[in-house]
Amino acid sequence: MNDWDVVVRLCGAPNVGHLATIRKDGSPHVAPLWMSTHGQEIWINTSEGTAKLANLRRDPRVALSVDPGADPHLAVAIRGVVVGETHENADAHDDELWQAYEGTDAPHLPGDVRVIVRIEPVRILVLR
Amino acid sequence: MVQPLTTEDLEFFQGLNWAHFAVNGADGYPHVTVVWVHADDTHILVNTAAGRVKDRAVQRDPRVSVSVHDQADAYRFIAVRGDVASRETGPEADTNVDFMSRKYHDEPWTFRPGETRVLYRIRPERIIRYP
Repeated sequence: MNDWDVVVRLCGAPNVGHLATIRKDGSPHVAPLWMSTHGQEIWINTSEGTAKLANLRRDPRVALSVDPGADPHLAVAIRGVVVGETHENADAHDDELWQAYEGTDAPHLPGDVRVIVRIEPVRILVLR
Repeated sequence: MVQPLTTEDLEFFQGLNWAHFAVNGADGYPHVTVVWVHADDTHILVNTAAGRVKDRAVQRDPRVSVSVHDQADAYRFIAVRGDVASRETGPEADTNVDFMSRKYHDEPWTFRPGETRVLYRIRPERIIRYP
């Protein structure tokens, strides 16, 4: 497996990614999330109003670490850049993630405005 | 403001979960990697080797974040913002890495020649719990 194959294998259900962003004060922020790969990009799905979204809009440089829970001998740490975001099809992508991770559609909570954030890896570190 | 860790918080760190430890990289990127983790009553414990990217980063800027999800239920997580209140090398760090190795792999730690283990005690300043 080359490094990108590892990313495709790990960056999706049932694995949880932990996305690091930089806060306004320069300190790091990290939180777990679900993800999927599309072409050469990793997509995450978040809500308007979250800390991670505010952070990555201010500074598109991010890092992602994928938990080896299901496969403890293979982990990945990625450095990436946010190359785009969209509201279009964000609810459908949220459903795709929920189906992949939980086997059900997303809850679509009232007032929850979903956003797809597209991340392009710039460096992939595979930990074997 | 230091936040106390609750019994439920301690379960995340003391259980068999991995932590994701985020620091500021030298070049403005955040840096996050998976680590073994534990906690005493007031601090989150992370062990690394001197000279690693994360260790150089911590010595430049002690502000860190740690995120852990429950391996038994990926929907539950805790994310802590804090700072490295102490960075220790020597017997305490060596004892701790051996403890971590036994906790996660059920075997003693094998020290590598020239390796200096480093123990961080992280003081929680803000804790996000989900759900």
